[in-house]
Amino acid sequence: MITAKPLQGMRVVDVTEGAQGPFAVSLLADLGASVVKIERPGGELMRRGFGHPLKNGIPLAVLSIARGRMVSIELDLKLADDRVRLLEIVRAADIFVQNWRPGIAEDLGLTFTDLKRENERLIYASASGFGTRGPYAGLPSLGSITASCGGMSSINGPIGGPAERVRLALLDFISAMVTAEMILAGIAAQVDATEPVHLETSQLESALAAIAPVLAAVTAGEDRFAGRPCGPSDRWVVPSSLFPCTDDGYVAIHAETRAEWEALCSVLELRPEVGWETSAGRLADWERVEAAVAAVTTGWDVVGLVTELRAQGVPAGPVRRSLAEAMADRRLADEHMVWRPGRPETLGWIAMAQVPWRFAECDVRALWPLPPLNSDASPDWHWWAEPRTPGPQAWWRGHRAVVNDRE
Amino acid sequence: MSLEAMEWIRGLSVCELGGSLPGALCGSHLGSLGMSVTAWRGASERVQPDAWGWDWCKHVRAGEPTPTELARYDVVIDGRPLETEPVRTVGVLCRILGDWNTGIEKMPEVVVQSITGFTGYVGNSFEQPIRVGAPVVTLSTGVAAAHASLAGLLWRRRSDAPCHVTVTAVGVGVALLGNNITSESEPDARTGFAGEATAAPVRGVPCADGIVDFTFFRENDGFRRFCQWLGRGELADDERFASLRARRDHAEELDAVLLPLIATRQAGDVLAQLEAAGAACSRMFEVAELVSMHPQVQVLDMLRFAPEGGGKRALVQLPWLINGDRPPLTPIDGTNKR
Repeated sequence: MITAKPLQGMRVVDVTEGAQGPFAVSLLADLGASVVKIERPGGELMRRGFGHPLKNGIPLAVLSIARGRMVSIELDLKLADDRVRLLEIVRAADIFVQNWRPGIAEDLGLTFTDLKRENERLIYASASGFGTRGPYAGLPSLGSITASCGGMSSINGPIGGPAERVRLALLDFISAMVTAEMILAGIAAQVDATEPVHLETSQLESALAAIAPVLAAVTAGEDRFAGRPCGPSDRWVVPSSLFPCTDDGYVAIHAETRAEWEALCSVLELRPEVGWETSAGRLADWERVEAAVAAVTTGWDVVGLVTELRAQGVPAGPVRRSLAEAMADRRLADEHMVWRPGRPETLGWIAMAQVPWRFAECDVRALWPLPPLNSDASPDWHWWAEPRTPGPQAWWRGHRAVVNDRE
Repeated sequence: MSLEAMEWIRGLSVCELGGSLPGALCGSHLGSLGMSVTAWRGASERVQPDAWGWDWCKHVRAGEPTPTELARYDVVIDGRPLETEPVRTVGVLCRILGDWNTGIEKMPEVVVQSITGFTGYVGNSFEQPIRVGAPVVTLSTGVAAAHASLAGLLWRRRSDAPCHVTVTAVGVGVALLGNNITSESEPDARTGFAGEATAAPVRGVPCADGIVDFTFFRENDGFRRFCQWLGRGELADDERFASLRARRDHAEELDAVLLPLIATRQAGDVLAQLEAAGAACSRMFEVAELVSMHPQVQVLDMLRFAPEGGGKRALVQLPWLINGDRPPLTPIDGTNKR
């Protein structure tokens, strides 16, 4: 039985704030990395709330965005003594992650060039809003605004209506997942090597990646919406949309293959027109196809239609009008969310999203919420001071916490 | 260290089965890093990933590999239906499912967005619901599969044992909603506002020549200067708009006041004032504009263009740099080049 997690023994210094950087580091913590969170005086920005829901004066969002930290340490990196303390921590680390605006690392003397002098095998990751070069590099960024800059917002909204932003920190979380992937690639790049690795990404690059299929289709003249809002519909598959039911609810239906289309027609007792039997034919006549489906779904209630469609092999699901409505789905909540005690304990229990992966050989799961400022969440923090064997991948060869019954 | 010097990565082989879109994206990312990726594809009526550039750096083979061939791969990305017999591998098996108990094709983008509640954050959820326009769950599931593959490879490297990981599209959808789930789990803290708590104005703001998107975050003084420029400096003293929280709570009222004042102005002028006031702001770029006129996208040098009829098709490379280099989206072996 092998119990070590994939990144167990790896040490991460996290000086990020907001959502993109902190959530990326949380994913590394979920995979077993030990994370030290360095916070500005008074705590990182998200501890201040900024309009997010509070309980006992504590913003709830930051507890899950920055979960799994072993310890929180308050440092004022503008002060020389505190920078010395940070460098001591960096010397014992494997990874350093920052999401400062371009120029701040230079001002603080904490660039890749500076830190590789302190730790010659460091993986240095930066995650900015718009990238480190170019006319937008120094601008303030917020995920929803960068999504507008990167074309993601322009394709949202009702068909034929104005484009609008998604009222959700969606790009922050997408770019966090991209940042975590980048860091994992950086770790892999360092296998059998000892050189430092410098990684850079930005929210704008993640926005482009998120609309890559739309970008390809629009430039090739293949998008029936010409890059404009698609309302409830899919750009490539017909029908793949949200359809009304008799109880004021809606059902998401996706019928891409011939078998799925025929099953949908059978369930709805829909008589398709000639040409609709192929996906290309439905795509060419998409408005009439979707109108025909909508005309008959109104005779069904949501639960009955979803049940019948799924039974016949047609992908379908109920449309939730809010997250609270989705969380009321017990199966979804039980399988994909986890309850943890809030910190401090006066917070009671809070829900967090569970990790999106399951490893058969080890227990990878969402860990504890962000500890209070200047607090430990795990007694294992002390092992950071232990010396390690130099050389490639020292983080797993020299660390006592690596548990492998085979060895 | 150059990309060519990443010897361990460049010696790894990947098998992609099933032709699922997240699996194809995962394979594309691993291939861009230098792994040798073979995509095994059968006949399919579904959308093909090659149109999006996700097959460019792969060998594409017809049919399915034999067990002997499968055993040679370091990573197997399996996007086939759940009913299919699991792959036996000595390397890393990354299985991609729609949900823990369904195959990938049972949970396409529109269904995942609907059941996880994305549809509460777009449009007016009390009228006809709409979805997020970008295939965000598909993309993020591919990225999560790349996490799983890379983490599995690292795990296997130190244990010398096979590693089996499962990724689900629904799990990824929930993960993307992470902070909202924590906020919504506390009934006393709920805002009753299905939207990003810090965002006001709520929507992009039309100007005379385009849409501008902005948010005043902490910059109350900047908000005052912007209102003064609009000729309504007293708005900053109005208790409904005097703080971030107040602007959030009265976002619709703020929209009703600001939008008419901005509608007749040029987007460039509005953005200049917003930048001077310290607001996070941007023009709302349309997709076609990203290619033709976006100054920052040009600097990032992230797009590549393939000939397409008389025009070109834009393909997106990996969204990060390693030691200053962007892993390339390069056709190999003469296959899959548009």
